[in-house]
Amino acid sequence: MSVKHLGPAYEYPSANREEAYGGDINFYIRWERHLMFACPAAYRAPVAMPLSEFLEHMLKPDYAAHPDAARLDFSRCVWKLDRAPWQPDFARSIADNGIGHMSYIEFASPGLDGLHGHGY
Amino acid sequence: MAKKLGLKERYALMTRGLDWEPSYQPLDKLFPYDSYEGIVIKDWDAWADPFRLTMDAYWKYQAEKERKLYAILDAFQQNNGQLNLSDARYLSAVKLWLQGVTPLEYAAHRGFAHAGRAFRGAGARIACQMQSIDELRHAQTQLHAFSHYNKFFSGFHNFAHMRDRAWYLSIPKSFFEDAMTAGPFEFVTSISFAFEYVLTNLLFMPFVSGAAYNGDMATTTFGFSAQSDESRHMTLGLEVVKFMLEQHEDNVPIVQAWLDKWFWRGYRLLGLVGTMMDYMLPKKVMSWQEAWGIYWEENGVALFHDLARYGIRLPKHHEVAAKEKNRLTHEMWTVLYQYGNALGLHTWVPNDEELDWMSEKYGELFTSMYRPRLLHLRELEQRGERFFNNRLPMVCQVCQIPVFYTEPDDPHVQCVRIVEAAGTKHHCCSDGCADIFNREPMKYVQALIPPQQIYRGEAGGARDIFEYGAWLHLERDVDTGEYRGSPDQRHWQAWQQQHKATPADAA
Ligand SMILES: [Fe+2]
Ligand SMILES: [Fe+2]
Ligand SMILES: [Zn+2]
Repeated sequence: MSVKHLGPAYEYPSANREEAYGGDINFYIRWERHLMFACPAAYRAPVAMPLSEFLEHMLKPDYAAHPDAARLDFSRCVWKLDRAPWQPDFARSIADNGIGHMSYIEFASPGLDGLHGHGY
Repeated sequence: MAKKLGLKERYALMTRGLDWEPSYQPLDKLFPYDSYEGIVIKDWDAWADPFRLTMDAYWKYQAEKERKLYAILDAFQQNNGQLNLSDARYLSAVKLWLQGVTPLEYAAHRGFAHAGRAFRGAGARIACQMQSIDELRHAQTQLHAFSHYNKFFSGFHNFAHMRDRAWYLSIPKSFFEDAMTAGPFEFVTSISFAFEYVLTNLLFMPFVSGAAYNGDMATTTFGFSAQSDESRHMTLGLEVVKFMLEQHEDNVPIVQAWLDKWFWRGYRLLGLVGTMMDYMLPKKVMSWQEAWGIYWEENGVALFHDLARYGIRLPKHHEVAAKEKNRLTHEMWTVLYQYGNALGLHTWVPNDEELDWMSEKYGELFTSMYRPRLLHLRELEQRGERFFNNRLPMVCQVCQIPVFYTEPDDPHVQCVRIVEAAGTKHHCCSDGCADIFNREPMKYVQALIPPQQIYRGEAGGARDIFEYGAWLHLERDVDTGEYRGSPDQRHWQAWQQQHKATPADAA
């Protein structure tokens, strides 16, 4: 549907369009069954950054408060990119892995299922 | 004047009698906004004035209320009424009101002024005009009542600056701006009907009874002072919806779509109020779950059944609200708690007595799932590792709430919905918000989402949550963060000691 309006047209670009990021992108990640971190996390990163660097140096420190974080091994995780099963190549860049602006990544860590047996 | 006019004649003369037929311009040019939404009005004279109040009588009533209110506020201030609060933690509720709700009163003033100009029917214009003035008065009396707390406690110092910048205040702000940027019929449907008529008891009752329970005479008094205005506002809400539904059957699907949208937006906004009820009030009034049961599931649903004769059904996704009612506030409190470094009010882990109250009110799910989480947070705090999440969250493109809700049928899994418009993906917290987005995507792609603004460099150049907090004019660990150990708590304890030690107070 479209917005009812006065005047000739009602068309706008997204306030969060990729061009506003100067070559970087904005994307989101959720660690499944770790609801101590209540929301998927938002990142801005350069597309040329190797995925391993992003995961080890940007993402991992964010979860330091969780007892599971120390044992987190990305190579053993199960991944989804934009809701579809996905096998990342950690040595390659964010862009080469197909991660785009406003992408949504989900990963599960079998064996690390959060606290209290209910995914906290 | 020869003879004194009767009440009815006087009312007619002083309201609709002031209107006139334009002769230089056609009505459609004079009132361009009241037709483009598609609402068909055959007979504006059929509008039944809900207020039956003339302007001079209005001034008289309001002035009388004002005199009483300010006499009590003066007494409250002179007697150091702040010392009679249940606990200084209560002030988080007042801060949330000042930062989040008082600006809505002002926004309502602006919105009704605009709607009042837009309608070609004189009855509707006058109703909107009076409400516009009421809302301005509400904003002012609240500011005056709360200004006393600003002398003693943190977080009260810069609400207007924060209102346009803070992530959690963009929730109420965007709610109202969504309404104000709609046409006048949608505006009154959203604010007067959905918000003030259907959901108002879930906003006003918890705050005002909560204030009374917790010894806040200032807030209680303005609450009562605003109450007679609110009943007029509710009447307007019901009147406008019935008027649209009775005027033309083509209006029914338009009104239904607005009710679907504004029920959901109102419900999402009220999550903040529910969290205030369950967590911020040291003395509890009732639980969110109980309030939702009484004010929505009983009263609200009965109202929708009354409207069934016009072809109106219950708003979409009301069943999701029912599924969420036993977890909403527990999930939301931990959001406020973990992003506390950019929050202008304090958070804490409830004490054992409060946890017991929650177990009693919320039963098994709370006891097995949320209570252990809160105890884990307490343990971390006691070890000196108070938990904060300093990574910016995903935020819903519509309600602007961080995406923390869990799936309606599974409290272990986060609910995320992806929508796409203008060549860009966006995220929603629920099917309710995704429906609203998909109905008017070009409206919501323009939304300014705080974490995205920060990453785009549009938040004063802030690079992380701490710089962002400073940009909000929040002083770290004074205005923000944990209650235990905060200056508010230290001052409160010192004043309570002194207060108890003063013999004059014993009398
Ligand atoms: Fe108001
Ligand atoms: Fe109102
Ligand atoms: Zn939402």
